[in-house]
Amino acid sequence: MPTLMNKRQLSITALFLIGSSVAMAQTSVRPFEVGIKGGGTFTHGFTTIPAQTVGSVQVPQLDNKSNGIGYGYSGGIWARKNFNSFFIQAEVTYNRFVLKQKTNVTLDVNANPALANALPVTVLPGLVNATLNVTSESALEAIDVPILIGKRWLDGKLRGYVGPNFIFVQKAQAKRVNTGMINANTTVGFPATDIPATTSTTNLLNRYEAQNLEVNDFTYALELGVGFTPVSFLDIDARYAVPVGGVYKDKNIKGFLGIATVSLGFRIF
Amino acid sequence: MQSMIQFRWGALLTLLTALVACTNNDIDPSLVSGETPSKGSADFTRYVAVGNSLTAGYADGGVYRESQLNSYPNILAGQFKTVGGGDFIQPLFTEAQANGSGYVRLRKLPASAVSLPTFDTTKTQLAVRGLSSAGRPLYTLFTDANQNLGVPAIKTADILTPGYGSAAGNPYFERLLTDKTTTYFQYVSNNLSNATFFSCWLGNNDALLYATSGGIGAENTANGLTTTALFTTNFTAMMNKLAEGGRKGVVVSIPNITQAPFFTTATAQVNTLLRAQGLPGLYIRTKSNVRVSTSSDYFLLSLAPFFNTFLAQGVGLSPANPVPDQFVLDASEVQALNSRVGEFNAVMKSQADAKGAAFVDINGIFQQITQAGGYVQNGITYTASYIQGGAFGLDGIHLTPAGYALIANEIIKGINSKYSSTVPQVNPANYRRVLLQ
Repeated sequence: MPTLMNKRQLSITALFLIGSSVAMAQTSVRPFEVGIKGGGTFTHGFTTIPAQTVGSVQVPQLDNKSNGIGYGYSGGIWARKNFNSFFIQAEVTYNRFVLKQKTNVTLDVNANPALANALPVTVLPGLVNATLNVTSESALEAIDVPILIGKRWLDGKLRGYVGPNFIFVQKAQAKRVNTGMINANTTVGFPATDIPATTSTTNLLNRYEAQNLEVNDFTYALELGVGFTPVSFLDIDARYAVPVGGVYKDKNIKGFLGIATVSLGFRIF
Repeated sequence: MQSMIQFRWGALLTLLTALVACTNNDIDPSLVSGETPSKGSADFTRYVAVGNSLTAGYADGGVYRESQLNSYPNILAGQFKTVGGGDFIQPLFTEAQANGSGYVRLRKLPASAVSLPTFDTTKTQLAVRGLSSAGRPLYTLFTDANQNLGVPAIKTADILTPGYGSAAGNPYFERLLTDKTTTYFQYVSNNLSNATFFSCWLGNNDALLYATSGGIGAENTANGLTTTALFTTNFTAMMNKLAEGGRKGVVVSIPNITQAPFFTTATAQVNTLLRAQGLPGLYIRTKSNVRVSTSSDYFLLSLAPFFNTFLAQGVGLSPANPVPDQFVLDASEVQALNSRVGEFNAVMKSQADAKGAAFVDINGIFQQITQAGGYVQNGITYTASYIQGGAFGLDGIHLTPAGYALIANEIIKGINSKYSSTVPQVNPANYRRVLLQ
């Protein structure tokens, strides 16, 4: 009899324990979480390259305007340590950011070696200029390591966070499409000439290829975001990062670059 | 647990930084190879260049400061510096006299395919110090020690002739001499002290002046072919001097001259015109007779200024009114020219071999430029076309800075192959072609 009683007590205790643990999971979060995540990146920005002199050739200021949003991807692992009133989240992700820009510029033909090389004669600087429409897609691939500090609301379902993102650039390539025309100069008998569309690819990490547009191989961004956790194993996050550490080695290049990321995260444990 | 996680992050960051640092993006893609330059078995400490107009950097019908700075010996000397070469002194015209002897400039492109471009000749900043009794210009003297001994127009036939550098002789040689009776051979000897490496590109004018004057000169005269006997004697004497004491160097051959725009440009225009008119050829005067031209005859660029006048006067349209001999290098003259150049090149090659010098057959690069599609390097196409080909300058015979850079690269290849050196080549894209100014 006492044995039977004990059994019943045990099962009730067990039931209570299970019930209590389910209630815990619904209203609170684990102290430590690890998961994987993946999503898309949305990049936009403009760049202003100051006027410069290359040899004896004057290159005017270049205004690379935003040409819409460039789409990329993001994927990696995350870990979160939850404290009573805040959490710290760190991640390692591989990302592709695509920056789409366009510029319209009139410059000396000698300022663009590809153009100068295509002419049948060398032209003394200052005689013939070209009006170019350049659209570019710069694709940056980087390993990002954000370290974020944040707070939870709504029983932990809603998160808000901010922190630095350390960016290790692995690949930076600009694909440019040039169109435009060489403007006539009747004094030297140079006729107006259409420039056929040419596509070129430049490695922006190579200083010989990229010249003054050489990209830093390490930079950092300031990142902030919000997250929603509808069910305990799923994170939906939206973020915005601004690489305040600078993208180009040349500090005279000004501009703005913003990277939005939308991702889904799955908690593994 | 907490400190474990922190440690792992730290390790990961270190690893990433190390990975990034290993990625090498500091290689110049335009360089041919990443190998360290070496001099091999040659010694480039003091380089001396012997030759004619090509060596002097003659371009666009003259010698001027920019053309001198772009001479192939100066380009070579710049590359030799990477393997222990010293300074290279040229008889440079000063900046105040930068236009030197004066030269032709391209001022305006032709308005259409059938019209002519506009040229002018520099008239200021010349290095003319006076006139000879015959009224020819004498140039500003440069009598210091010299390493670029190139003298425009000199033939191998001239190198032992006293007075060749007198006021009545060659003004480009005259400006280099204190004692005007010095022969070119003596002048070279005087400038060879301590020289460790030589280049010798002599001999072109022993054939070229015959060709550019339409083959009118008799052998061993100013506008005639040099005889092979005289060429052999003089060239051998020069090589004996240059290779004295086992001095190393390079000998450059004579290219096929008739590939140059001076010979091909007017020829192509005449042939186009003939085809349009349905004519088989123009009547030309040769040494032996008057006959109708064929595709084996070259009309010279020297014809261009008279072209329209000749057309108006019906020159070449009847046997009684043929194109004068000096404007045409006819088929038999081409044959005489080519066989003589072949003999000269054989002499030069055997002398180079006998003295252990490198021998560069420079015709290879000219053939590549002449072939259909031209010679493409670093995004630029070089052809043998007049003005827009990029390799030949406005006189249609001498080279642009880009053309001289191509020559320098061929010579470097020959030197590297002979002496197991790795002297780096230059990027011809860094040198201008015909300049519209």
